[in-house]
Amino acid sequence: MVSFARIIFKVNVVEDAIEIIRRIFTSSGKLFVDISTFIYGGLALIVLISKDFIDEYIPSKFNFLNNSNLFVRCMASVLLISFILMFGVLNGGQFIYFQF
Amino acid sequence: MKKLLVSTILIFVGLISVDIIVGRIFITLSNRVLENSPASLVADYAFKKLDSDIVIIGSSRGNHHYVSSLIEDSLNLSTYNVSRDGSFLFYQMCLIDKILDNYSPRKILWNLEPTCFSDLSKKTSDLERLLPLYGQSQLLDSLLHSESAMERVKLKSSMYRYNSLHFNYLYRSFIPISNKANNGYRPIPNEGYNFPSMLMSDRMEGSLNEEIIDLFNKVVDKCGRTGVDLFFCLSPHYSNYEYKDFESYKLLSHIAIEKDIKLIDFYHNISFMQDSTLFKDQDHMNDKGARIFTNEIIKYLQ
Repeated sequence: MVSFARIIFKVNVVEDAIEIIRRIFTSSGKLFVDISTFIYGGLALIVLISKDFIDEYIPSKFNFLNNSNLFVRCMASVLLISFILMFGVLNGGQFIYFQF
Repeated sequence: MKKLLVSTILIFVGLISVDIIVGRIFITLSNRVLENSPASLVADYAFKKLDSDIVIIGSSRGNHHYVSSLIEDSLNLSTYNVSRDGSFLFYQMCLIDKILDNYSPRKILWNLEPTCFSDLSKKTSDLERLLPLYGQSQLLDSLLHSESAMERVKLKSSMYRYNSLHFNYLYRSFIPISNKANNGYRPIPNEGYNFPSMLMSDRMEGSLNEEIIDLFNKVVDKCGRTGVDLFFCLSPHYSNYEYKDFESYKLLSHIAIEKDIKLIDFYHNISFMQDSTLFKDQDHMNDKGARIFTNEIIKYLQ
């Protein structure tokens, strides 16, 4: 449903949305698989599941952001900021509501 | 207070170090991709390595409609197609400007659209694709700086410039696509889909954009100054709306006459409009259509 809604969010005029939806049912072709999106999505899922797993089963370990050592705390922040800069959605073009 | 200061310095130094390392890794990867698979980093190739006699530039329609090897074989002049899917006038103007800084090709075939001067919304996405090449072209840098007040600061960071490109660079440095690409041309298969029906409705045109027109004129003038034989081309489009009434088209024709540039218009050429099997969809011809069209173009280049 989200993918379908994106058709309407991304187009310039309603006619384009109707044309796209029409072609979904009338044009044949290969499955559209954007492998890099899958990999970035997989990476984000691994981070999410790891965080949940650590919080649930070993909450006292891997506590980098609240570590007693100042250097470890700072480097954890550096890694987080770097991760956001490298993989985050930073520009309007990538943003789902960009057309608005 | 002392702890806060030390933390700030540590984070700042850490970020700069990571940024430098990331930047160096990407430069190494990009050089490796350019060696193995130039067609997969076409903007980098145009900026750094291109030296062909004939250069073809456009968006996806340019990429899929001009068979570079056919032109090369017919005219005995090296030919490369630096067109790219979803990359429009700002992207194309930056590439041409940089190519002219590097050398003067003998001919440039610029595939344009009848609405080319009216769409400002593509500026951000066009420039995003060129972020890794920041610092290598005055025109690109000035356009990027004009995007926002903070852009100059953000562009200092390699992590920002290469945002979300890691996988593409890594993948292409190990798995080249040079065999699939033919001097930049990417053919669309002739079968495996339903041929399109003709697009009957009118296409919308926004108001003319002065920034695009001004830049376009400057790039065209630069081609003239460097002695490049420039051609404006409109490749076939499977539709029947009145594109000649568009303000962009009128202006393009006017610029072509004023600056003595050949305008090769096949947009609704009758021999293409009669055969839907030459098209994958209304916007794009397949390899069969591209080869017929390229042979027509060659006649103008001789």
